[in-house]
Amino acid sequence: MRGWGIALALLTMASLLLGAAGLGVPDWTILWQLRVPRTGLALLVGAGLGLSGAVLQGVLRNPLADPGFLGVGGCAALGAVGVFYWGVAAVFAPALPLGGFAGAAAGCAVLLYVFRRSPSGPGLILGGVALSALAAALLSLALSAAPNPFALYEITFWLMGGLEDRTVTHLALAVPPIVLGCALLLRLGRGLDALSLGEETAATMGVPIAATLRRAVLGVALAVGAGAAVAGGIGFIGLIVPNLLRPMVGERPGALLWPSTIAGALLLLVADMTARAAGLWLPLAAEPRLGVLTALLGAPFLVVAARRVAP
Amino acid sequence: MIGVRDLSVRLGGEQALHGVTFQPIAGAVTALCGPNGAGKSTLLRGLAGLLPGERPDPRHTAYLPQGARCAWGLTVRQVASLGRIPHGDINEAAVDAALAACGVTALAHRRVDQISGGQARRAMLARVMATEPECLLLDEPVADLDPLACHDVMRLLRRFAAGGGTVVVVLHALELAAQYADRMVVLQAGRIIADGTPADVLPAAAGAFGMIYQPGAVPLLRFQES
Repeated sequence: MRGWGIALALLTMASLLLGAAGLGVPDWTILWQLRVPRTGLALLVGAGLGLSGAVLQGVLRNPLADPGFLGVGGCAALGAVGVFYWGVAAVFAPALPLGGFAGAAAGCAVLLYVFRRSPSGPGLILGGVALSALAAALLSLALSAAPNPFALYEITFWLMGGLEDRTVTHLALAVPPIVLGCALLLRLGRGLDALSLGEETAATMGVPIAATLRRAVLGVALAVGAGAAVAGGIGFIGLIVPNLLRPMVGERPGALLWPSTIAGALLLLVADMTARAAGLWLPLAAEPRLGVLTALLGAPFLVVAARRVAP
Repeated sequence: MIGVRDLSVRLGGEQALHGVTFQPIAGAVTALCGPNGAGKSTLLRGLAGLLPGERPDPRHTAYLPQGARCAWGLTVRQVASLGRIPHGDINEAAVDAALAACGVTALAHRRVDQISGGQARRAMLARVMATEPECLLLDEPVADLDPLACHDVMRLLRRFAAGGGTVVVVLHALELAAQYADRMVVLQAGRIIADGTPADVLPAAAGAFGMIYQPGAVPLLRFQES
C-alpha cells in the first residue's frame, strides 16, 4: 500500500512538471490552469475506470468485462454527445456529465438486465458488442447530421479521448460524480466476494443481490459516465488494471477494488504523460490522442487475456 | 426451524413439486432420494429460502448447490472464509476447523481452480461448515468424490448431526443413504412417496429407480470402521 502511495505521489509530481512549456517548474498560471486539471482528471478518470472494471468483472464473474467494450463507455459518449449536440452543454455546463451518466446508466442497466441469468457466459460479451455497435451507429448518425463542420470536427476529436486543454471547471464537474461513484463501488467488496459462488448461493449468504447489482450499475454509470463526459472515449483501462493486479493481490474480487482504483489512476496518468511526452519530443503534428494510446496498449492485452480465458 | 408446508412449485411449465410438506429433524441426517427430475433440488431450494416469496436465513442455514463452483481462482482458505460472510466477521478458528473437518487443511493455500474436482468439492463444503450453521442443506455433495472421500463426507455429516445440527442432503447413491442417514425421504414426480428410516424406505426407494431391493445381500466392498 505504501509503494502505491509513493508511486502515486511521484507520478503526480512528474505530471505537474511535464508539458508543452518543457520539463521543469512552470509558472503558476500554467500549473493551475493546465497541469492541475489535466493531472487531476487523469487520476480521477483512471481511478473510476479501473474500479469500474474490477466491479464489472466481479459482478459478471467474467475477467473480460470492461466498461468500454461492454458498450457502457460508448453509451456514455452517446449521452454526452447528445447533450453537446443539442447545445445544452453550452447553456448548462453540468449537463455534460449528466448526459454521460444517463447514457452509461442506460447501457449498464440494459446489459445487466438482459444477461442477469447468465452473466458469466459468453452471451454477455456479445451483448456488449451489440451495445457498442448500437452506440457507435447512433454516434455516427449524430455526426452525419452535425449542424456544421466545426461541430463535426469537435465531436470526432472529443470521441478520440484526451485530457489536454481541460480547465478547473472540468475538474469541478467531474469530481462529485466520480468520487460518489467510487465511494458506492468500493463498498461492494463483500457482496462481490459472495457473488463469486453464484447469485443464488450469495443470496443464501445474506447478500442482497438486486441491491448489489443496482449499486454496481449506479456506481459504474457515475464513474464512467462522468469520465467519458470530461475525457471522451478512453477504453481498456478497466480491462487491463484488474487483470494485471490479479497475479499480485490474488483473485478475490473484493481485494481488487482499492488496488484497481489506485492502479487505474496511475495507468491513465502514465498514459497521459506518454501522450504529452510524445507530443513534445516526437516529430508529430499534434500530441497523440489519449484514447488512441490506451487502445494501442489495450487491444493486444485483450488478445492475451482472451487466450487465457478461452478453454 | 426450517421446513415447508404444502409447497407447490412450477418450473418452466412443469409442476416440480405438488403440495409437499416436509420438516427436517434436528440432530439427524435426512437424505433426499429419488430419480432425476423428482423435485429433490427444488425442495432443497425451498428449504434454503430461495423460492419466490421466501427469504434465506444466512446465519442459521447454509446451502451448497449442486455442482457448486467458484468463478475465480481463490485459495481453498479464501473459499472457506467466504462462509463467514453471513456473520460479517473473520473467525479464523471456525475457518481452520472447517478446513480440518473437510480434510483440506493441507490444500489451504492452493487455488481451487488448480486442484482436482473432488478436492474443490470439499473446499466448497468447507465454506458451508465455516458458517457454523444450525442446518446444512447439501445438494449432491459427494457427486465427484472417490469412494473413500464419499464416506469421509458422510461421516462428517453424521458428526455434525450428532452435535445437534440438522442435515438435509440430496444423495443419488442409495447405499450411502442407507448406511449414513437416519431418515430417508423418497421423491418421485414432485411428491414424497416414502419417508422413514432407511430400512423402512429402501424398498420404495429402490422401486423409484426401477431397482429391486435385496435384503441381506452382501456388498462386495466396504470400508473399515475408523
